[in-house]
Amino acid sequence: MAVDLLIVVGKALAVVVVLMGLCAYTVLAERKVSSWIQNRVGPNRTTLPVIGAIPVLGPMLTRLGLFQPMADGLKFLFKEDILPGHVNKVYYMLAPVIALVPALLTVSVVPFGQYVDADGVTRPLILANLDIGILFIFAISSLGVYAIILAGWAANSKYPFLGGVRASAQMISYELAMGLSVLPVFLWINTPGAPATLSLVAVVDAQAGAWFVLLMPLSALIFLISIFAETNRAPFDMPESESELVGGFHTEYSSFKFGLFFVAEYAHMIVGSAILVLLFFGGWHPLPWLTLADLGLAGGVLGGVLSTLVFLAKTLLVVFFFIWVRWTVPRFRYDQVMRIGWRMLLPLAIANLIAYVLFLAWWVTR
Amino acid sequence: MNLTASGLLFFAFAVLTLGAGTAVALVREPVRAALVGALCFVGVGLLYLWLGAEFLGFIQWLVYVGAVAVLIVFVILLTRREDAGGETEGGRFAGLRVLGGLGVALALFGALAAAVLGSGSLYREVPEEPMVLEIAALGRELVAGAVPPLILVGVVLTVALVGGVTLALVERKPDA
Amino acid sequence: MNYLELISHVLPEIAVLVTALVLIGMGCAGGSRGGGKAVLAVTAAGLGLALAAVVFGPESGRLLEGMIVVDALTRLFKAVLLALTLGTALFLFPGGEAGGNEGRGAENSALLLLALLGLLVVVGTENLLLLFVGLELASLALYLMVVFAAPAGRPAEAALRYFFFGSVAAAFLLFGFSFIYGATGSIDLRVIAKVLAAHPVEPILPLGVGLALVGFGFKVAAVPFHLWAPDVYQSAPAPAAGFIASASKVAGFFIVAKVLVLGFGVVEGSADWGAFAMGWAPLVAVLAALSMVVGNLAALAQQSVRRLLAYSGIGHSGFILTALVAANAEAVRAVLFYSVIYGVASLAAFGVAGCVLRARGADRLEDFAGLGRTAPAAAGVLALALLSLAGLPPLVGFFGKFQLFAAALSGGTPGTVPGLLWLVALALLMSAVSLYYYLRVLKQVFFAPAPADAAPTRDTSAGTAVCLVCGSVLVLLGLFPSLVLQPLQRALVQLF
Repeated sequence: MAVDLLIVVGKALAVVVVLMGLCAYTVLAERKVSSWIQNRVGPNRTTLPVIGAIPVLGPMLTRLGLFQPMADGLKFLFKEDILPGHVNKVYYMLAPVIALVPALLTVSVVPFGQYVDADGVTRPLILANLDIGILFIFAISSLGVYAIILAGWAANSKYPFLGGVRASAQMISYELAMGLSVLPVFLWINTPGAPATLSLVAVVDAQAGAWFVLLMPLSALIFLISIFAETNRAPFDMPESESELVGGFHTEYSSFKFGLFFVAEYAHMIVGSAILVLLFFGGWHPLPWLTLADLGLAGGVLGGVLSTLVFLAKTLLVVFFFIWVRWTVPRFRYDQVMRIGWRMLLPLAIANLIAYVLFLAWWVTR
Repeated sequence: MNLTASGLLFFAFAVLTLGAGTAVALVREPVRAALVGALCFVGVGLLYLWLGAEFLGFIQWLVYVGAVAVLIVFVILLTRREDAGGETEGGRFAGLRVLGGLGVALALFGALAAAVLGSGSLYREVPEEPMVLEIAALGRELVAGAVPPLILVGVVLTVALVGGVTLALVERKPDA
Repeated sequence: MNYLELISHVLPEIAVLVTALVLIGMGCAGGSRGGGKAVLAVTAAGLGLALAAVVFGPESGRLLEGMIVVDALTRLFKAVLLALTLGTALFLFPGGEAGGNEGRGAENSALLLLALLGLLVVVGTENLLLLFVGLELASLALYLMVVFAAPAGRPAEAALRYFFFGSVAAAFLLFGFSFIYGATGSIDLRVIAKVLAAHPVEPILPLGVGLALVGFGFKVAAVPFHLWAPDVYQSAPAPAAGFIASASKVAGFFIVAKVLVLGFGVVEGSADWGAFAMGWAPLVAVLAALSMVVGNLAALAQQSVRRLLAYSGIGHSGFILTALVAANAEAVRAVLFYSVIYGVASLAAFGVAGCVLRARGADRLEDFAGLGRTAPAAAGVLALALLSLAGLPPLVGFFGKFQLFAAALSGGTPGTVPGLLWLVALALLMSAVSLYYYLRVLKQVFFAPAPADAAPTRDTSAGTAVCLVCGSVLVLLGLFPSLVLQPLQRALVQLF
């Protein structure tokens, strides 16, 4: 009993640590990619005493900026934590915590690989294999908006307030399109006769042949755009657009509390990318119509490691796409954001859903 | 009374839900009231989860906490006034009103409690295994027996939408 | 589960819904701006189709555990509701110009039809869940109709009050239903009746029924749940008020009678003098007595005619509930019959009040002065409607009231003093009181001189036609009540 609990806690810690590490290095990637795009060099000075002194390797790592995240982390921890006098203290403190919790909770139902054990049973690598995983993710991530509303309201200051209002309107608007865009996927895997499930593992299993992005490209596109909006990433970063709102909802935050928002944003982005990969890009299957089992590499520890690596690689590619878009596309105006959400994406998503309902009805009764 | 861990959880969730619900009525400032209202919905979701109705629980969070309560907060924020919270309950009979309200509430609660406690045959056998609500069963029910209410709820929402949009348009009319 | 069978049983509802959606589409396309006539034509066509679907549709059926019920009674009342709605729709469009609704005729009509849809569903179900959703649909659409005509001021306040009261009442209703479900394990009225007949009654059942009664009391504006009614009737646009007072109330009484008698006939209890027994009858009797007294006495003091009609409506709720206390077949027949003729008379009265309001800008008693000379047709219809409400022979109101009170007295063992005599005596007294305030209005209409600067009360053909139809229905039914009573009787035989 106690050992079981320890194992569970250990697994959870491992996943969280990996996610945090990913967040930190995504920040670095963001800085480096933006520098490349803008013909700059990016962080290349931060170094560590011992490792940095290793002859060839040390300077190379320093040039790549690989030590920068540690400096960033320390900066968040040790800078002066300012608590402005005009804020609602309780809610002000609560907001960053609420921001981070959903981001970390959602990752618990994200499967990141699978292996075949000694008995020939395929087991997914996942913290909590909920039968309704996708619903859990939607439900929990919909709580994230409270962090932004609370931050905007509790700061008692106009820019955060505007940012908070913008963010909540935006997140509500795009949640609809996002939810509707994934329905065809679950209709597809739940056709009569198949065992009813909303599990993400089942979605990946169903993509052993064609990936869903090939079968339903419009769904994938709508989902992708919605994730951009839900994570407040450019070109949908109205809530924190620095040219209009200083820093948006986190204007009044500093030091560690700001750090929590910062990490939460990147965690959301990574989890969103992971879900996109799971739903539409075949999860841990290396190529369409080609699974690890086909290659005979699905067994044991090797299978687990390989599938996780494939999945991580795809996720990071999507994260790169996020960064790439941010430094390429200008920000939308707010009315454009609303128009895209309500007058383009939502009708498209509904039409898309109806089309797939009709198609599947025909397919099943054919 | 022997409380299991599960029973303790139930009480925790119940206290959370009821406490937040009470706070909604007692808190003066609308934004805070709406926020604790969201907390109350979270508690209801937790109770569903405790009952083994995972689907309902998460739907409760997704719809009520993630959408309905957010909208309420949103609307309150948009209509916020500078003097929010500073209003005083005027009138000579303020105390009397509070007493009257409390009296009605207590009477109602007393009636409820007496009726529920008096209904002996309600204490049916509680199954050992927690019941699990099958999503497939839920889905089948929704497209079979529950079709008329489901469609009608859709119509209700249409009415709300049409009304909301048209009322919002009326405000603009003088400018045009 | 056969969808085709389901669709064939709800064709009237589908016709109404589709028409409403078409109207919303027309509103989006700006259809109501140019042609109120087009909107009216679509509305009337939809209602006609629905009526045809009622008449030529399946004669009986019970689908999905009582969610959809089609029998002679529901068909009859669906037809009545459709006719009343058609009248309201004609009022909405005086002369094709979108009068009073600021060019939002299409949306307004759509809301009217959606409210009607809710009422149709309510009438055609024996399932508490669908009943609740239907009531909510009707209520929501009505709140909006009340606020629709004018953007600010009193209507908004009245609508807000209506909305708050309605929401609380809906909460009570749902809460009550949940207790009923908890006590009986079903939301199908017939199953509930069976369970109640077979098992001892748990205390939470009366609690549930009591809470549900609060919700129903709101719907039919019975005292003490009537507080919304005067403001709403006075401030709402006249057609909306007419609809609330006619179709909505007819459906309200229909469902109250059906739920109480069909589902909870076993736990009726007794409100007989000296023989009170726990059940819903004493509660309803109290509601009835309070409504009669408060409604009729308050009406005496009113200056606004629409407000007066509101209080008179509250009083009429009391009269109708009086008969319901008896809870036998005769009583149900009387309740249903009277609710229909009350609906017709109210629609006519609100139609005329609306005309006066448009012509003279207010609806105080003085504003009706001389109406008999400036607009004899409208004045005549108003007289017919008010006298029918007062219950003077030979108008149908007399016959209806007679039936109500006879039904209330019919219970109990023959030869003894009827147990409900106390309630009926009160009703008779209040009926006499009501005559006074109706005559006050008519005195202004026929005997006061018209103000010199009075604009001629012109009204459109459509509105006048509706008024005239309502008036003649009142006379015709007064002379030949069996025209409605016989089908009603036949329908009720199927039910009991």
